[in-house]
Amino acid sequence: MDSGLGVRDLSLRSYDGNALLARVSFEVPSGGATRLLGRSGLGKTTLMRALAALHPADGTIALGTESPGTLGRPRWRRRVTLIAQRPRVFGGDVEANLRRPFAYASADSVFDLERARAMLAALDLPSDVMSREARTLSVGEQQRVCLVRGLLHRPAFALLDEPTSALDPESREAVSTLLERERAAGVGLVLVSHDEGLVEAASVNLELFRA
Amino acid sequence: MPDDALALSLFDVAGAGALVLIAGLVSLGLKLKLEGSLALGVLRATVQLLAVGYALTWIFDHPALWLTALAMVVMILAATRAALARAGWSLEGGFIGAFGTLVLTAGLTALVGSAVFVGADPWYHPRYALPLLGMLLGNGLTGLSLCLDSLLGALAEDAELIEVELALGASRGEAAREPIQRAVRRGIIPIVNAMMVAGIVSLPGMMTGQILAGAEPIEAVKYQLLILFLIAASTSLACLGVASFAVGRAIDADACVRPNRLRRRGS
Repeated sequence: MDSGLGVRDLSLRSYDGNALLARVSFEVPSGGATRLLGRSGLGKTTLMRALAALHPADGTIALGTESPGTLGRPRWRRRVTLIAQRPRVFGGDVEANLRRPFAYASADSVFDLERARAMLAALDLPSDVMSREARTLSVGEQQRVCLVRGLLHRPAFALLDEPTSALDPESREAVSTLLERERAAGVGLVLVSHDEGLVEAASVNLELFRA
Repeated sequence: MPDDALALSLFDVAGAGALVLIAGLVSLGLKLKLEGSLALGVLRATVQLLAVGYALTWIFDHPALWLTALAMVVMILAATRAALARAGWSLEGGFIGAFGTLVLTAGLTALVGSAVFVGADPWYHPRYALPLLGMLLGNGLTGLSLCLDSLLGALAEDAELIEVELALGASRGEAAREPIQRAVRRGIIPIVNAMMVAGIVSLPGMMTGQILAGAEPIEAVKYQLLILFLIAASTSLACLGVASFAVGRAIDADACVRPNRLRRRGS
């Protein structure tokens, strides 16, 4: 579990065939943090999706000796979890949203209600949020619920694509604190963010250029 | 034809066609401008059905496996085209998938129904296999279109949500489970409804046809039940098969969402 996330000679194309990034190599140590920088439209989001094995790529992505191919995509994604920029919640209440990933066949841990409550509270969400219909929450609240949903199963690496884009300054601060805490507990972070407050969490900045 | 069946002459049929003239006159009187469509409908139905009648007569007189198979392929090709055209979305590779599914479901069901339940001799006799297939395709088409429309729409419009499930560790089947359930349910509802009201709200067309042609009502009922059950089985299996195929295309073997394989029809 202490292996870093290794990326070697990764090349990406969009589905319509446009070259995005070519031969990108970097490593994020376990519990480390890396912030991906670069002009918009460069392919940062696609790179994040490729790291989660959600977009095809040439080159290798590995956690120690494991890769998406050896682990199988679902188990890889439990370890390297993408939290997408646009918050998308499932129907049902917040608790159902948080429980859902623990019902998949790839789940290797059980839902921890106390941890879920503590994380929601750490993100300044109201105490009754657990029983509220997720789709009735504000976009900012949904974004924080999605963050908790993606971190609850303790992935080895969290891929965070603009995780505070819909949040006010206080909530951003809360997210930053939570991410620092998760990182201290061993979760590696890969960030795409324009949020200056989250920069402190990133120990390495990686500048990307067009292929 | 049984002895007590009353054979229709061409004059009888022409007489019924003349009744449509009354509808045409009403259309003229009310300036509905439907008389052209009515005339075209009468003409097309006459030409198409007469052509099918002569073709079937020839095929029935020359029972051969290759001929039955060829006629089945042509029928399934036409049904595939119609089913896909009615869905609001198109899927890359969808024609092959839907065609293959219909061959394996409606095609096999018609042959099994004809050979095992009807006891046709030879087992592929076109007199039984082709009408059965026609009933299966004709009645299953609405369900299949509804199923495809619902599923492809969900796969395209909820692609982000499906990707969220995949990102959290769901398998392809887990990520698409709800859209599949909704789509298959939508596809099966018409035939379930048809079974619920059979004999109460409507007398099914095939049964009515057999009775008019001189069959004992109870014999006609047995055939109608057989057909209804075969339609239910074939439509359910076709919906499941086509849904599995569509999910396999829209979410590839590496469990990546492929929205570029779906297109809204007309765009």
